[in-house]
Amino acid sequence: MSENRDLYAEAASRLFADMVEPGLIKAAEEGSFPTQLWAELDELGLLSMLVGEDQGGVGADLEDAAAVSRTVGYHAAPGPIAETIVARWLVGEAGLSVPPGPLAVIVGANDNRGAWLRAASAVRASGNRIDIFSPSVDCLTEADLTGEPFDRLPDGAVATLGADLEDAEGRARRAMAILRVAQMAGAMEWCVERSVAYVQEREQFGKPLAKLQIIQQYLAQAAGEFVAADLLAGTAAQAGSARDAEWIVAAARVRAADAADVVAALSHQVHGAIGFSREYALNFRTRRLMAWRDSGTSSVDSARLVGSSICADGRPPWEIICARTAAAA
Amino acid sequence: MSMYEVRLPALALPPEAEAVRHEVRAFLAEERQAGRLSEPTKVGLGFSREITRRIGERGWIGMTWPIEYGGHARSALERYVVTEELLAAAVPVGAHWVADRQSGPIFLRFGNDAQRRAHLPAIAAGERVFCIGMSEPNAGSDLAALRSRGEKVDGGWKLNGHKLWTTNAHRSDYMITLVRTAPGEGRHDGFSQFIIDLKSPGVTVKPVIGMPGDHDFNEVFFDDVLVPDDALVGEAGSGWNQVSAELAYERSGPERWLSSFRLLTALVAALEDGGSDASHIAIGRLSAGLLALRQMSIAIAAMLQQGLNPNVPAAMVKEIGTRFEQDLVKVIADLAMREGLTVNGRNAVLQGLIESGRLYSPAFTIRGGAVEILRGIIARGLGLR
Repeated sequence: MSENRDLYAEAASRLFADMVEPGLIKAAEEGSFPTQLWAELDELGLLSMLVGEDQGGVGADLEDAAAVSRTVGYHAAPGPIAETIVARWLVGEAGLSVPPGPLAVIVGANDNRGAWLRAASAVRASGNRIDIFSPSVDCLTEADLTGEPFDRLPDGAVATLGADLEDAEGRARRAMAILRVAQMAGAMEWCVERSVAYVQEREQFGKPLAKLQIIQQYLAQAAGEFVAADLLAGTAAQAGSARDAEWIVAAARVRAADAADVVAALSHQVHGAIGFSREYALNFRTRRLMAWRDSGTSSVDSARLVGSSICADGRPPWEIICARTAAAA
Repeated sequence: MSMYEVRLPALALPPEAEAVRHEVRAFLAEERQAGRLSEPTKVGLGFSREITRRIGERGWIGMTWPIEYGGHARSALERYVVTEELLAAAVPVGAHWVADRQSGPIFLRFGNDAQRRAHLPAIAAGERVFCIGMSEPNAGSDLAALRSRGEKVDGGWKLNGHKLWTTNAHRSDYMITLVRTAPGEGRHDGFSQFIIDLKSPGVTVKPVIGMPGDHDFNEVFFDDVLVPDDALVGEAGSGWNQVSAELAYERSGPERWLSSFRLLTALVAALEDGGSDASHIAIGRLSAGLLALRQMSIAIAAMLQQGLNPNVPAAMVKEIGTRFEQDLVKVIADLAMREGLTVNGRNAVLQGLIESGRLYSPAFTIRGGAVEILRGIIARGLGLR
């Protein structure tokens, strides 16, 4: 347990509250990299938080990084922040020097898409290997549901640097999944908070929406889903990136996806038409929830991992669930 | 408001709690070996005074209560592990569940020393069964509308009224009931809780057969039932607050999401060749739901250990847990059909559990607090009411 966890999260939160306004998010979604935000994040050391102190980093742990990632989701902060945190860690672990600027993470030999490849170096973790690709003007520019760039490496792209790293692919996959569910928890938290506030501001039928029982019931349900997902996100972060955490991390992603569907749907429902507007901030979070629920490893692949492991084990499901949770704690 | 107040911490169970888990599993293996534990054929708690007595002998009832009252001074997390192990193994625990979960804690929190000495050791030994007399014909979700009343008489109280949906009243020794003892200015004023010996003259218990066809529920009539002064629990007029605390205990436990778990166990056992891809995905989703509920219940047990009121998170566990149970029955029924597991009378236990699960499903989101009432409690926590 890191004593500084709250400090990292508070520093990130303060920075995002200052700098991340709708204009910045929109600009990022139009492909303009948030350069100033990036400089501030680097200044605070947050992008190198997982890099060891002996390598010039902060030496924080994955739970700390998850706490920071929650604030990324809460504020819908743009740019490949979680990706860069994980990529710098992996590159450092592999004994390579960290490339300047933002980094994307590509997991597995068969994948070639990553966040912001037009501006970011790509760090591919496949098997026991780390390879680095420079930012490419030739990359195929695309976007995911977040609206932010999610580009494709050009065919035949050649790594500029590389090194072996034990279980690089698994560590990258688990670390990214842990930070992703943390981001989702943050985004859901914002959705529930904003919705609770909105229904008290908005009057229809001569009274605030909050006075209607059905509205109260929707938000109670959304809040419970948030708490459930948030708690498993925390459990996954505690479990860390070790191999025996795979199951818990996958379960956390499944639960976050299920919760995100409910939280996003109910947040929109209580907001009515205004929530559907690109001008109102809700869409920045709900579009990200739609993207994050399946980014990297999809929620269905995560569910398959959890379920097939239970079916293959041979012990009764209850024993497996208890044992896996205890092992990851 | 900030969600900070409703978030729950991710906690690992301490080693002593995991140690208890092994003891419980070893005990259950012995019981099964000796033929004293049969395979469950329906969902729900089940009822066996015999198994309750043996669980009491092991020190697993009243675990957190002081030793001087027959308890075992263990932590809420150790108790939590015992409850989840018994439920996951579908042990028929109905004979001590209510007393262990809420009647005993009510005595400890609001009762007097004489009441504690009179009841707690017998409960902890697994020898005394309690039921709860709250609901009435015209007071279901609106509990404050109840009409049963207690009238002060010389040397005690005279109770009259009619309770309904009283689980296990026909096989319990005592009831803790909520009645009106004064008109009261506010809707929640003037209630009191009493202990009633169900053998008392004037108490009549009649069966109410539930939709699945079995006898768990009852209606209980009080006709001039005389109880002594020391049958009053806590203070006259404070019944509503006492019951609110009690309901948080009632709603926080793993029984709200584990009462149908045996379907998953039976399904996984029935799958052939390790199961299809579709079954893996469905089982994975159910497991993730279960894992979240379990972590929530562990966090709540830790809150109880610290003396905190888990009212809102307990409502969340039950709100999510009972919807989860309904979903589980449906998902498993669909999977069993999809995989052809129950055709031509195969896997009769699984098929029986599915049918039982379907029949009990409507009750999941009603019993122990309807889901709408729970959402009302959560909404109040969010500042919406």
